Amino acid sequence: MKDTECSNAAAINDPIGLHARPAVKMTKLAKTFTAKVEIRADGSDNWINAKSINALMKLRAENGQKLHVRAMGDDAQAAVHSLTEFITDGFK
Amino acid sequence: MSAIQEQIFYGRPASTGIAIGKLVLLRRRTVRPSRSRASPPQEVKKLRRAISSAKQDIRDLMANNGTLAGEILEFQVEMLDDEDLIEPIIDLVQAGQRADAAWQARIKAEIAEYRQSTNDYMRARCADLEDMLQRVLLKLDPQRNHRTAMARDAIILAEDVLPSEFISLNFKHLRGIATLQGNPNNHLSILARERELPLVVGLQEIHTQYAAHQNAVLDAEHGALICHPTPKRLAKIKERLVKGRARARGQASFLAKPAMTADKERIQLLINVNNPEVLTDFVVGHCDGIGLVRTEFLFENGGADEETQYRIYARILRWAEGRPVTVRLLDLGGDKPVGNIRPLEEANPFLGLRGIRFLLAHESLLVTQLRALCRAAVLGQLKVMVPMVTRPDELTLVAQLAQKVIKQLQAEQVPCALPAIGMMIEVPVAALAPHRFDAAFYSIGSNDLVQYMTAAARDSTGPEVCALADINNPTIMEVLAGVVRLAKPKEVSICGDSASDPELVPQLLQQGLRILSITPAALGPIKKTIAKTRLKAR
Repeated sequence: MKDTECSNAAAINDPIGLHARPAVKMTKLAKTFTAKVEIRADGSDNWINAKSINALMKLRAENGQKLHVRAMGDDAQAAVHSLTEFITDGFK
Repeated sequence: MSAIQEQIFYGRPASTGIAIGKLVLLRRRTVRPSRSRASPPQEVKKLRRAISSAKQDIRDLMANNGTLAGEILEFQVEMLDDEDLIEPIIDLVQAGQRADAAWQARIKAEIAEYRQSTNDYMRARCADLEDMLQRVLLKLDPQRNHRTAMARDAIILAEDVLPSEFISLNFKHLRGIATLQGNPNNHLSILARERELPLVVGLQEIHTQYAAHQNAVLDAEHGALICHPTPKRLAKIKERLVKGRARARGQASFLAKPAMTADKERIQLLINVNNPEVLTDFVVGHCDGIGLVRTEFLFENGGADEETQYRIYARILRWAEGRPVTVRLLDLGGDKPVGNIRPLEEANPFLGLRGIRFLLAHESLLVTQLRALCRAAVLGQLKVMVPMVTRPDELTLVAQLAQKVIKQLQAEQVPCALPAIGMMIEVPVAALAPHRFDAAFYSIGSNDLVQYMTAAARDSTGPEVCALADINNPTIMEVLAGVVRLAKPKEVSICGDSASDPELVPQLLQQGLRILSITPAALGPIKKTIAKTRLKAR
């Protein structure tokens, strides 16, 4: 089966930014998909693994910062959809 | 061994009580490489086992400590699950490095990177990483593990103890804590008082290395750590302990009864709750409700989402069994820099963006908290208290937001109710004219009010300044009486430390205060004090 690739972007909606608790939630969410899921901060070329808490923390992403999400694999579309929604909804 | 001289070190009492035991050093340990070394595949196996066993330990800690501590610890579990972090270390071990050396080098490098961040929030995570580093090292070397196991009757001596370190301590064998740094108003002190664990802070003169394993007495009533006490000293201390227990038994007979003055006036005694975990061992019938739930702890590890907050508020309300529960909105800033959220580098944070000022500037935090509170309000008698109110419009804005939240929740068909919204009296302009505010109730935060009225910090390093920040000042007492008079017929309570002080309570009652919100440990002594107090002149 051919891998599907999908991407989208969303801005952080949490006054404290991407701090430990939402980062934990985000890795857990990303891990529910088999697809490879990656995140990039707007303005940076560096894609990081959304399933790595350490990499997410090092984004130091603050409120309002736009995050790009991309995924490759069978459930890529669903992964991108849930992660962008998670970011837009203030990590809920 | 020849007799070691008794030595007394003085600090500041932060949580009262007396402990007799042995000093145990609590350090962020520096670890020496172990001597033994196995083949690379064996080392890999050892490291994987150590990591998974460390994870299990953290999960056990989470299970025993409830939601709050659990969410703080979850970050460590997720780090230990991070393949991008762990697998490169495994590769190095596979290539011939020792497991402990490889682990330590990589995690230390991570810590250094977090520490270099300009972001307070990232820097605050260093303690979690350090904790994780040590946990795995201890698993790799069981002997080291044995060495750090908590001795019976331990008195911890440490440079400082972080709140997250405090929660993971083994309280079974712990009798007290002495720290070189800190002050009686820090988070550690609040947690220790809540647990009724003796704590002395600011012991600057002691060399920790010298003191390890010595017999010691921690006299947190006088702020003293006595190393190698003489037999005579021990006998005296034991005598005080026995008397203290007798006194506690005397107070215990008051504990179960409602608070009543000698001339039969009923006083409402509510408790202050910093951390809902404490309620587990506490009999609800001993108090008339909760007068202050501080919510800063919810935000220790970043933000707490609506669901997390709702669960905690719901738990507290169910515990209260219909008694009133007053939750204070997040009170950030000033002396409460909650872990990671330090909004501004202000020259004078006590007079800056704190309390409701901060919340109105970060409305989404406030809305989330109000949503959780309005949902919980259907479960009991919930009241919401707004901190640091200075102008009437601040209270109006909160009330309007609460109305909006109720409409939203109703539209989403989520059960909800509008709680009574009251305010703290901390700012002098509010204390002098409570009637100008449309509050359902008032609660005097005497710690801050006294500081603002005397322009003196209670935690100042200068004893001359601390002495000025004294509630026992006739003008302040008159202001308290004024709040009660001007607020009528609305209810006025007092929730500062002064309400937990048996020496001050009779005076507070004389000012017309009939509702005190106190630290749970003070219920017995304060009920006893009230029983001896006569309000009407004979």
